[in-house]
Amino acid sequence: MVNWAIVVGINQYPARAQQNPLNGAVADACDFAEWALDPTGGNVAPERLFFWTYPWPAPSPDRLGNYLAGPLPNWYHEQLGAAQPDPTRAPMAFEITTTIEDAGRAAYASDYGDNAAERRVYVFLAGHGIRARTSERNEETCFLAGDFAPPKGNLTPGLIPCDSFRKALLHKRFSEAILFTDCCRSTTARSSLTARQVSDFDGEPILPWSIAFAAQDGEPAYETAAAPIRGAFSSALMRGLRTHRPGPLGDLHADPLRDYVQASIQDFTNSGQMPNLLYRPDPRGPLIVPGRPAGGGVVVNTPNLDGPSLDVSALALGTRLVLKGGDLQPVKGIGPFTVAGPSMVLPSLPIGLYAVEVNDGSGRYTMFAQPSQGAIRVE
Amino acid sequence: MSNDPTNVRPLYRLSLTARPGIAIRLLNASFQEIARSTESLQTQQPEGLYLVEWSSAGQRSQTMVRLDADHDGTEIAFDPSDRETDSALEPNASKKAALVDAVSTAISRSSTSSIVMIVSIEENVAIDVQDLSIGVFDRNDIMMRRTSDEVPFLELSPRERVYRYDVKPGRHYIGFRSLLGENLGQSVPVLAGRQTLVFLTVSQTNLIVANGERFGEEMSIGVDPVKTVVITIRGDEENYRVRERVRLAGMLLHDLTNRANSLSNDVVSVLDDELTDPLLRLYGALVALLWFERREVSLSGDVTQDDVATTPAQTWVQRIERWISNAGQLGLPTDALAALWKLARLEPTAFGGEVVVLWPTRLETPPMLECAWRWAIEESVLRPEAVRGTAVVTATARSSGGTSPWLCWRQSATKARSIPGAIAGNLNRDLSSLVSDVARKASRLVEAAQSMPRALGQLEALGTEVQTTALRSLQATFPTMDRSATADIKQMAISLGLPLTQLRKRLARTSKALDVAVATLNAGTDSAVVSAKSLRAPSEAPGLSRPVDDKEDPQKGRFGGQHRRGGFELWASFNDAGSRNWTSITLGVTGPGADGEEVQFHLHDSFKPPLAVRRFKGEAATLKVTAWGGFTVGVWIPAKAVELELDLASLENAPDIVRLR
Repeated sequence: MVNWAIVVGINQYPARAQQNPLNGAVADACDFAEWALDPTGGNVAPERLFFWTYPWPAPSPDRLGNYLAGPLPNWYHEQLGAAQPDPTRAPMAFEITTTIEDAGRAAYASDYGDNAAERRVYVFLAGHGIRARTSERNEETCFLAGDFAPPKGNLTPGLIPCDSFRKALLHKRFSEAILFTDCCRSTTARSSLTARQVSDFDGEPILPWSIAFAAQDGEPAYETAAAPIRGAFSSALMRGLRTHRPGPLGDLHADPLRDYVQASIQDFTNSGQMPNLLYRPDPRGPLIVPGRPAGGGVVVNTPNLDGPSLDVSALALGTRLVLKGGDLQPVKGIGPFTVAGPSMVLPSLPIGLYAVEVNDGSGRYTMFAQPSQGAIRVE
Repeated sequence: MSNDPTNVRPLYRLSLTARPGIAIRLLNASFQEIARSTESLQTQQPEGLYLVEWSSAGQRSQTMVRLDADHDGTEIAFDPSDRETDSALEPNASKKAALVDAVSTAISRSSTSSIVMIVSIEENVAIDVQDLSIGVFDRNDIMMRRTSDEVPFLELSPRERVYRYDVKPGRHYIGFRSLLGENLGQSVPVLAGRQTLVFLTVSQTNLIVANGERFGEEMSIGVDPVKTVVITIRGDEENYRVRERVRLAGMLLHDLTNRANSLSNDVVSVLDDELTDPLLRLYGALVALLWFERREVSLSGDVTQDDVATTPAQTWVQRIERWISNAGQLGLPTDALAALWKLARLEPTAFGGEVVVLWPTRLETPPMLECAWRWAIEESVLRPEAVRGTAVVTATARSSGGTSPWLCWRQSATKARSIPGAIAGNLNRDLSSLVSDVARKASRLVEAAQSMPRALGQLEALGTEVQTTALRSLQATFPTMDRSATADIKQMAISLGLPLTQLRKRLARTSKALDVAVATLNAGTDSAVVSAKSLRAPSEAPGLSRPVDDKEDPQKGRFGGQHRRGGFELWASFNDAGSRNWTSITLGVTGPGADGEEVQFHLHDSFKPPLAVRRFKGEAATLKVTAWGGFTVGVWIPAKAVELELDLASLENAPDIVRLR
């Protein structure tokens, strides 16, 4: 498998786009690019990574910093044909779609046939989004690129219909497409605002794909409330990509990634935001990232996961509590605890299922999953 | 290595039960899957904590389970249908499981047919349902009278309203105002002796609108068409059964939208029952067809797919045909016919000529569902007469899309039929030649523009339809090793949502529009690049820059509201077009215009294009159009800077088809 990636993050849109500035989209894109360049992550060679954020990121000593300091692959340019990404502005819709579609087309043309290498493309788009009608009669979630502006005719520039983009990537270009979009889906464009066509669409491909949206259809996406500000979805996604390896070989498919991100996003926002991830083929979806051979099916846990909060206001002061793990044995080194107030915070715990037992002979217990959503009421 | 029996951990029994179509996954405490099934799962596991995941139609619920000596033999049942209402339902899981089969039975048979609209208003949405323009129409566009506001068998939530229409069996359509503020239509079947229940959901959304150089936002409330569910019942069935059927229908409709497949064995067993709601069975047939279409596998023989239930005794062709039932049955939606056509195309050897000859040969009303419309379009590429150009079908071709799984059309898109003479020469040409012609002209523009994005910008000046059709034509004529011309035309027709007859007209219009652009290009001597500005109308009517107040009648109030001004008069006369569907209208402007001076007629936006230009000759300019319904005509005479406006529906001499629609 040979991997490509295109990574875009836009915090600041031109005035004509009339979009509020964001704070986390660029950081999210940098984080994803860092993961993409990691041989144990996305495993994308620098010459196959197309990266563009606005503002442009500050120099850094990591993989992305080294990448940005070196020669960058050219992007499609309307006047010049090809050019380096312009750090003084956000990329336009055509630049995003044509750059990676041309790369895929070239790879397909040079390596075609039964023995051709598999080609996976990662797409990461962070910024604003709306729902809009496309010229091909569909209504889709559209990412807002840097040229988003009120239309002079009936077609609105600067919109990337995500699902159509996905189909185009699989049309004689890549053999697998993995898309992540961290943008709102809550605002709908009136039907007169049709998205200008930016890809060549061609039916429903049967190749493997997954497409992740930050929120459910019609719902907004949020950034984290506390610094460093990031997209809540991207935060959960990146933690999942880096740490969640539930497969027998430590691999991560779309299905368990969806489960993880849906469960984990509550650690980054209390808005009720619920990501959506669609994929083919059933039941697991494509392989998002292979695990290390030594992974052995062990869940790799996040070291700094916050400990869960317990609401113990229904219990008498002095009540003893025992924390048990998934095997119903007391968790070593943690507890037992004594209720000394209406609430308590447990130490950081690995991801998994737990039970808090009331140690008074009543047999009462409360089960919870870590990471947990809000305070766990123990009665 | 030793096998010490004392180290064997005791196992405890766990029994999980769900409704048909709900997938069950059992995960261990590390969230690793250890078992999965549908309908029920019996397992034995060591002491510990477990997570049960129930999923269906993109929705998931989770239940944590503890297994130990005190919890051996734990039974858990999951039933989302009892969460839809406040009604007290049987708490015993095993009895609920028995209701799997009850989905297909009825308490009493009704001798009448009706459409019952159940309008559910989402929380925090405030609207008077009267403002949603909800109605039922017959195939002649006659609005049906509401019979009552009650359905005693259904327990309504406080946010649900119900409207019942007793109607004759047949194909009807419902109308409603959508979330985007458009009045949409959607086919709804009415079967003899059955009630059709249409569940509509009213939502609100933030709409972004362009106003000159600015974007604006407005809150819009209306029916969200993608959330609609349609089922039928035979009599006054009890609330729980109705809700469970709605759940199953919603699951299959979700499949149709997302090209998923919930046809597990438990669902198939429900659909195999001949007493099951014919609409549910039809939805199941469409899901199966979509699946096989996408997988490109044979439907005949003993098909065994990893995630599609099969029985060795029958092929999927037979099963799908049985689920579809009799496509000619009174009231059954035309989706059934489109599905049979698709089935016969996928598996041509499975049907003898004597079977096919029994099927209706053409479709006169749009199907309910988007996928069936696509299949009907495919059939029209092989047999153009397969889709008849009725007013509603034409409106569907013009305005449908974006409401998957349902096929909805703008009700006002039925108004226009044609402007005679606009494209006459091209309508008799061979379709492949027409596509090549459009592609050749588009290629010329692309070459001149030197890049596809720039060419797109220039094509944009010719309108959305022209741009999209031109680009599709370019794709169709790219040399490919694995596609025939018919396949290309089929793909083009599907992507544009146009049956063959409408595709031909679209291509003819596009060819004509590109003629203008190419002529402009050829006339340019200094620059090879076409100026987008040069492709625009030379003198744009001032009315077009005024906001549209009435989305269903876009020219209303934009041309001054007067049909007489400055010595000029705009008038209309009506002629019998020889059809109950269409009326021929002659529009005319008389007044002191010099011969050759331009008169712009701005029509309803369902006319393509909505602008027709005529020139004065003998102080008169006329335009003949064919339409189904009234609309406002705006006129702009550039040489005299005169605007005129006439609402055809307000004219006393207008026929009912114009005044009342």
